Amino acid sequence: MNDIDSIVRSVIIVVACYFIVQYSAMYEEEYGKKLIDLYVYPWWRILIVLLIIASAIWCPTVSIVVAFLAFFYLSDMNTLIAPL
Amino acid sequence: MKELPIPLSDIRQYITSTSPLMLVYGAILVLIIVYSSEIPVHYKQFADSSLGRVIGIAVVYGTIHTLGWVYGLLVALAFLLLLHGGMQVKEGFFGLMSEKATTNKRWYVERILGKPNKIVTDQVITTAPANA
Repeated sequence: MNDIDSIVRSVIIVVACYFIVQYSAMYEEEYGKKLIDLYVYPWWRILIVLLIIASAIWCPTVSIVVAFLAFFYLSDMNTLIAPL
Repeated sequence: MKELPIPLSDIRQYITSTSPLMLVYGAILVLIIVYSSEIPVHYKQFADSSLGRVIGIAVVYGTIHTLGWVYGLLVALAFLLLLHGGMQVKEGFFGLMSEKATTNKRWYVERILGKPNKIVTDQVITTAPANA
């Protein structure tokens, strides 16, 4: 059980790091259309915060990476709404 | 029955150890994160100032010490979103040049579009070409 848990944690951390490096604050790489469309709905942003809280209860390392990913996503979308 | 990755007793203890005030504080943090784009820009600019940054870091530090690192993570996220919003500036050369309201005769397109409202330069100074 612990092996599967640690494998899942590692996979999530690697995937989140990939998205951070590939998309975060890189305006040349476009986010997915669904991610852009969903940002305008408050319930979607609440779900993102709940994802951070859930990952924080699960594993500190995962939560920090997920929080980074959420921060970059929210700030990028915020910038797209109000350009620099 | 499958064993949960996190024991149910831990989750129950986490919820019951949370006071109502902490829940209210957490709800306010969630609202700040969710509606960070709606917060007035002068609050964001204050967060981006030296005093605002010191206060923000102190609040993150204090929250981690008093309420735990989960709340600290949310405070840090809210503070970073405020900081990032404060860095956004309006387009143009605000405060660098004197502006004048356009009151004179307007072109048809300007009347239809309702702009420009202000202009920076209303005089053009030309000089005669000099021989090289």
